[in-house]
Amino acid sequence: MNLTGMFRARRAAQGTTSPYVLDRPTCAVLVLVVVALLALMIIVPMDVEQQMLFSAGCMIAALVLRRAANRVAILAMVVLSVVASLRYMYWRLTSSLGFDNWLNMLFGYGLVLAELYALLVLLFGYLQTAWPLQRKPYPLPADSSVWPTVDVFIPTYNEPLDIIKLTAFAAQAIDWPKDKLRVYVLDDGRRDEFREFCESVGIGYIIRPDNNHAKAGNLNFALTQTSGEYIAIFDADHVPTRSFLQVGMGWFLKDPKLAMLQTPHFFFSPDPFEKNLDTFRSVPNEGELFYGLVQDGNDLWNATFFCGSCAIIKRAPLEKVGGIAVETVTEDAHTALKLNRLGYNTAYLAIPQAAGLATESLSGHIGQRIRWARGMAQIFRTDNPLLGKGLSLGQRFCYLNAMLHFFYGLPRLVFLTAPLAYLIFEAQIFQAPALLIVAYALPHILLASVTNSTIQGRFRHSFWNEVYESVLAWYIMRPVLLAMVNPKLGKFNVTAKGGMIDESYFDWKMARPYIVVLALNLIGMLVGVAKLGFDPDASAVTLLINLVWTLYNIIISAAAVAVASEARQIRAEPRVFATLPAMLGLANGKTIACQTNDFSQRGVGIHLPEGVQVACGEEVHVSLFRDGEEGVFPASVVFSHGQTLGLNFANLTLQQQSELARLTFSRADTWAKSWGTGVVDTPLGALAEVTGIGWRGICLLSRATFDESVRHVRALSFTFKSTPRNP
Amino acid sequence: MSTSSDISSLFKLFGGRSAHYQEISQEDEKQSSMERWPGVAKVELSGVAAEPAVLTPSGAAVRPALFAAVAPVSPAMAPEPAPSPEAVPQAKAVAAPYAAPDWASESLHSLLGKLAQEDRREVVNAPVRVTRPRPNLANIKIIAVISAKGGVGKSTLAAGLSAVMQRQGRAVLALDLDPQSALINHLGVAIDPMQVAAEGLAHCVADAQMRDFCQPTPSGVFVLPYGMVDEGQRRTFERQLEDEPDWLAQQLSELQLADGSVVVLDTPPGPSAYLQQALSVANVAVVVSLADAASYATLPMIDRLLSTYTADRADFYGATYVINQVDQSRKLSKDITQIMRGILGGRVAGIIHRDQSIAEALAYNQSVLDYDPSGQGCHDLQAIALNVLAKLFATQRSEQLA
Repeated sequence: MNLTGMFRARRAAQGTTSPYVLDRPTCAVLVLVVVALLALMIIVPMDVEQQMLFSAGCMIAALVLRRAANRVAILAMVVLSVVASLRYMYWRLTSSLGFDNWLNMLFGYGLVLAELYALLVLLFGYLQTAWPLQRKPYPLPADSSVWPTVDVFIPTYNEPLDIIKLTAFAAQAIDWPKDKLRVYVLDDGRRDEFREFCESVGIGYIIRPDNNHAKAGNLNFALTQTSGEYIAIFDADHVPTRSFLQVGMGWFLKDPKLAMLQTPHFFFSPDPFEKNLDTFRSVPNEGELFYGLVQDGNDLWNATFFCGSCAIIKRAPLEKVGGIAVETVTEDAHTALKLNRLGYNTAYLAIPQAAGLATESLSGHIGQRIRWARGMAQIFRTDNPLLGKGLSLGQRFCYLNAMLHFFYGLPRLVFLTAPLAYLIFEAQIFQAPALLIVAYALPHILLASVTNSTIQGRFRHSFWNEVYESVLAWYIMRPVLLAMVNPKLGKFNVTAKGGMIDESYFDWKMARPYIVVLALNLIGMLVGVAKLGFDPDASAVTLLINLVWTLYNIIISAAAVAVASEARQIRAEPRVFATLPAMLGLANGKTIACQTNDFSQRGVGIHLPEGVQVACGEEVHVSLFRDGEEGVFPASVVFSHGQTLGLNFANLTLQQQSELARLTFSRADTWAKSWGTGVVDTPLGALAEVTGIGWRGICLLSRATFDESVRHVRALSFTFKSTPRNP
Repeated sequence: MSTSSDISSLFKLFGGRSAHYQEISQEDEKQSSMERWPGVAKVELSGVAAEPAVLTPSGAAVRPALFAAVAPVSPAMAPEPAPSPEAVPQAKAVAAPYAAPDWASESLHSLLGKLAQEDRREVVNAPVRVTRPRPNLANIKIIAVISAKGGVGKSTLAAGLSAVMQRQGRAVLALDLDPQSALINHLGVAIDPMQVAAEGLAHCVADAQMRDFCQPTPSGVFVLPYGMVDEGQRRTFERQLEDEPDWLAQQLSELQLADGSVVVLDTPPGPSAYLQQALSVANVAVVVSLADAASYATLPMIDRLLSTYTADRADFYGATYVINQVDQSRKLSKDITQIMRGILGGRVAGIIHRDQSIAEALAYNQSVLDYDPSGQGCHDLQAIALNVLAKLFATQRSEQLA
């Protein structure tokens, strides 16, 4: 339901005779007046002092509003930020361009274009996230005989059976009438062990003769083989909770035009950023902004898009749009776009009801983002949301922003190298006095930071945006440009999951672009400092501004370098941290009442009570509880230190594996408890955070360089030594 | 209606109401448990025992007296029942030189401590039919631990509950109505078959005072054992019990226990005069059962017994069930437990896992709370005791608020 619709509904509920209700003409006039005032504020020229005062006023107002942090305060901050930014851009475009030589022109216009992009994304971002809908689950009717039939699809291609088993067991454990729930594994690998597993457990197994269009084709084929009214889709490693359907299906019964409901992709293992920078559960990870805020904001405009997994889609509308889209590699977003064009609604519930594995390594992570970026560029070219019918204005802007987001490659690289234009090439990219630049640019930057921090603080820390973009910028730039030129190019590459990193190492190959940027900026820094010290002609203020900017770039690129240092992974199986009641049954018939520290498919970590010890190597039975239910599993103690035990399960039967999944992964609240519970953002704190990581990056790089050179020297001396002596 | 902890915590985090959630998987599991065992038929139990009864408005504001605490408030109504004319003058004559001190203003501890130092009375064994006004036991709480079958762990549970409640700060008296006279052994008193407590409850006929035979135990709980009697004495005692349906009530009121004390009654299995006596005074009946088909089959019988003896009692709060020696690694045990939970619902106070420590504690003459405090058996006992305490005193609180 869009904003107008909500207002209309509320007005209808209240009755139309209220004196406070604005009718159309009054509303229009009011909007015009407000716009005129704002335009005036943006355009009126001021000298340096006036501009500084204006900026200071805006900043103070923003800081005061930040304390309130309710929806209205946020809207006010957005207005302030928009005014400051538009004011800056207006001044920039009218007063700071006008270059005399081609070098200046090149750098100057390049920077302005990048800034225009950033401004556009900022404005659209405000539109998307200033008012998240925060939809609540809608209750189903008490009579479960009217509940619809649901098919659960688990598409797979090359994932190992163990991963599928867990998802399949959890899908079977969903609280839904047994006769109305059908689980299917869609195996594009056509593997025998999968078929045997599905048969022994009693779930459907669907294969097709080819692998055209990868996952989309797989899902579309399964559509022809099944008949449930609704389809729930889970990637091979996304494990649903038992409450997934009862939480999500209510909205479908309430809104007959609803075609798709999306829930967050929650990761119980750290992604490469969290792993390599050691920020798991303290700094919100990259996906939390999207699933915590952006999609929620999209929901207000009825522009939530399908993310490929952890979602429910209604069969009839899906068949009407021809199944899952196959024209682009981001088939999920494209399908949602098609559904919206036909007038169907899409919804989002910001409640994590399924969890999976994050990408293992930085290269895998980057590969996945490249695919998304390419796909979004393809949709932009072939099915542009600004054109064509069927979408409301809000939907057009939201989809546009989703696509524009992925074009950050080039602008980010421009920002990372812009000050070098002046420091190294002495190009005058700003044709304006330095102080004026500061007076205009500072409020623009600071207000945007503070406003975004207030809006996003729970889901994204300040300055981390720059880190994520810097890591990916070089890699997505080319695929996006290529796709914009020719959408047909590019293929679907499956994200590899479930691998193990044996030894920590520095991913030189991946890190090359960041090292280059870092090196350039360091050189620029040195040159700039030298000039500051020894060159009497140079303008000190301009140098200082550029040096500060360069320092910032150094921090960001050093942080990106830190991400490339792959941490060693101790266990093949990532564990979920959870404290659940448990019991150990020892061989001598005695028992120990204890708690879990963590669990996985393979084993469980136990926290013993004081004064109790269990020796390593003992065979025990571990019981896990969920309220009155108890499952007993044979295990052996593989780790024992003080009050901490590590248990590995003995070979569990299928029945036991299913029970284990029910008592652990299927719990309704495990993911919900860790949602949005990281440290809330403070811009200065975040800056300190990122600076610390940047410093760590530089240290890691130095050490890696040292190690590499030692290795090379040793290799050289070895070959030298092993040259046979002449007899 | 869902009462699962994970569902309620989910909805608490995100809004919405867990009342609408349907526990479908659980229901399916219960269904398949029943179907797996053809010998296990569905039983229907009366719902009468489930609801807590309305208390007679005695209005006493009772503070649970800490066992070692100072004297409680002024005595609640535990008046010395005036013996009616045909009462035992001869017993009274025997007891005449004995001057009753001011019991009511002292705690149970000091009362019974004094008892242990006084001379024992002569026990008069003449059974006398006495009709006296029904004594008021509103200031104490009485738990009857009962079962349909033997060997299910009644005495163990009764002793365990007593010990836990005593540690929670209640004054506890454990009373053994079972001729096996096993309760005292579970409370840390050394087992010597040659020296079973000679005198106990069974000797309290005529007007002999029960308090003479109460013994302290190392755990702090006071115990009144059944006592060693020959067959003739036992049959006489049982006949007296049948003649005086309120015998136990009278005896308990004469004890003049401190306000807030808890009396735990251990009974023999199945229907008996002892069961009838216990159920005529108990506020809560704790039914002990094993997780096997035989115990399951006897649930209707115990249900009938409960209805018979407690139907017309206003101060019976209800029966609560304990499933003992549960071993969820065994299919039968697991399924029967699940079926019982399904039938009894909220009336299950808890389950006790099969734990070797419980048996070993007895052999070591220790309370399981001391012997293996980190074991699951101990935890289960504590959970059950808290549950029963809540049931015992919840109605009191709601009455206080009224």
